[in-house]
Amino acid sequence: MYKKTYKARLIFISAAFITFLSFLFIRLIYVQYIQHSKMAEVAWGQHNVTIELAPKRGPILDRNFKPLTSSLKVDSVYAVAKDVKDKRAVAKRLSEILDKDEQALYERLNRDKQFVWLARKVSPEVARKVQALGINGISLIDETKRFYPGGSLACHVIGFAGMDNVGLEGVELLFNRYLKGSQGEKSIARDAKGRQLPLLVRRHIPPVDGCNLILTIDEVIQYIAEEALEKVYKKYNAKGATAIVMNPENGDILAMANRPNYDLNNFGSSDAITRKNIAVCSYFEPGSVFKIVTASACLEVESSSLENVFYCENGSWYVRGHTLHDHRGHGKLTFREVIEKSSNIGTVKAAMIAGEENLYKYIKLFGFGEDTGIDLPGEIAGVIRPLNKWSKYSITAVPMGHEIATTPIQLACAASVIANRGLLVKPRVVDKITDSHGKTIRAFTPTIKGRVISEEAASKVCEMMEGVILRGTGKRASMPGYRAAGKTGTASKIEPNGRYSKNRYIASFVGFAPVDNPAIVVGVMVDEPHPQYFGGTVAAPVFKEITDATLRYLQIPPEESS
Amino acid sequence: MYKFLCSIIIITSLSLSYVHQRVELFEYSYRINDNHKRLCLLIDQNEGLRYNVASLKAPHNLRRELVLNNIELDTPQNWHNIRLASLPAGQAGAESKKKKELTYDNSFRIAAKALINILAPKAEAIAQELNQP
Repeated sequence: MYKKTYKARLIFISAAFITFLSFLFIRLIYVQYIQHSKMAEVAWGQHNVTIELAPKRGPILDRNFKPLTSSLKVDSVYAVAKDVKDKRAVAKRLSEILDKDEQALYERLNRDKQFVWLARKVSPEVARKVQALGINGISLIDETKRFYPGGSLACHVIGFAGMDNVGLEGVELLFNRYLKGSQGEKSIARDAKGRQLPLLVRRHIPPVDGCNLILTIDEVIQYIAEEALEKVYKKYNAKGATAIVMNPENGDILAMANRPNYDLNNFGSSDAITRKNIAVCSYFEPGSVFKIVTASACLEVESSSLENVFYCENGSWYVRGHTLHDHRGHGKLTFREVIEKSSNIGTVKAAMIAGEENLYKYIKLFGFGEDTGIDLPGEIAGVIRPLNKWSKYSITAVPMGHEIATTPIQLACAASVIANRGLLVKPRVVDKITDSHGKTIRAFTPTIKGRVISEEAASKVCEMMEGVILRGTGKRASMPGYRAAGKTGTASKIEPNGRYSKNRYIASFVGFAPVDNPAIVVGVMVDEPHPQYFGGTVAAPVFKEITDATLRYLQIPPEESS
Repeated sequence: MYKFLCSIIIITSLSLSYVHQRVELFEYSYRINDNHKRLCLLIDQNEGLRYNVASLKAPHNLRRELVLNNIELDTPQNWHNIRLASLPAGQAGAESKKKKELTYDNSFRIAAKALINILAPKAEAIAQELNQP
């Protein structure tokens, strides 16, 4: 009996053990084999930490390698929402320091998330105050922020990078893929206290810092242009203004300034209109400045010479159904004098002799109606109607810079054709891109687009333009020690009703110096100056100021006799 | 028994030294980590200082400093430039040749020459104005 009971108990307990062991064995198989990858992942996550290594955004330098940008480490405030106890009180305390709405902060703290941003890239004082609070769940984290030591200097060229270090304007935008670099990663073991163990680096992909962008801009020349432009912008209460300084030989843009402008370190407070790069993104009817193109066409096709005489109808000429006026009545003028004194009637007569086809051909050769190809975002091509769309009045308007819309950079390039003895160059703002070790990754070599007019024709137009400054409408552009050549322009703006305005003008001047071996081309455009509005009065002195200071800065010796 | 005890002692010593080595390695790695953090901090400070220098050197800040200190600068005008008359090419060559020959003179002559140079009045530079104002 006893033996039977003993045997039964033994079998029962054995069965129980075997069942239990079987269960354990099955569980073991399940965890070790079936759930292997998941468990390994969890274990990896507990024992290791993966850190993203942010790259440093590449700097932008001027042509003399002076830094125009800097990327510095700043603190950002974040919260681990579940660790924050009294959210309402914390939101109240933080709203005073961070200068943010208390309710907005409270809503953020109430989000069902592990990590929430409270304030990005704050100043060191704010970071110190937040740290001093010592609130559980509120911490600081390093981020990099873009700073611009020049403030608003060359703001429209440089542009800015936003909160996530992505370029949003200017060359920061256009060359973002070179500047941003690439992120790295490091997987490293950590101990029980969460400290990293450099000895046990599992995986290390180092970040690649962004490339260096070297511009053709010269910081000093840029400042000269900005100062001169600021004076005229304020003096004449203008709506806008732009100045371009360019090397006619290789197309290097040495300065590009616009008004209104903004501080790159505070781009958030500027609007889209202020951020617009007028030099490449705005077009206008150029007015008399365009006569250098007309003169070039006439001289190139030899329909006129410098000494041809034109009767300028004493300032009023009825042609093709409407009356053409000169600013001042003239009688007979040579072609040279027509340009010097900026006679509309004389210019139209010369253009009529050359013919519409020839005029249109040279307008296109000068690059109008298409992009210049400058390496800045948002460039527009301007407007030039195709020849078959010209009306019978067009030949009386286009030669003097109406019925055509150009950008300031196109006009500067047109002047550079004359300065460069007939060759059209492509303007450029970026010289080269180098890596963080200085090795050139990409070079932007100067590009000559082609010959527009012959050297002889260019030389004659140059003579005419020098006459504008010596004897004509641009006397205020003359400067002691240097011979300069240029052309004034005073163009009426078009009212919403389609008629030309009687009180809104664009004053412009474009020219180059020294005449014998031009070192710089300078283009100035002032939008709606008042009370004065003539190009010779408003824009010519700006040309003089910029050119004089720039030539001396470039150590180009004054000519012995000028 | 003796062999067994020896082997136990050796194994234990080796084990302890291995553990000690690992502990030391980790200690050093913590220190490397701390130094690396300090280096990063110094690099950041350096970047900040470079930015400050660039900012101070920026033309608008220089201009502001000049205005604050009542300093007015202007670019030199024509009459500020004075060109020094240069020696004719042949004479310049002869001068350098003569200088070479002196090195081969005896020391008394060199000393006498030096004394004369000190005591005698020197030739003045000829200035020629570029342009009259």
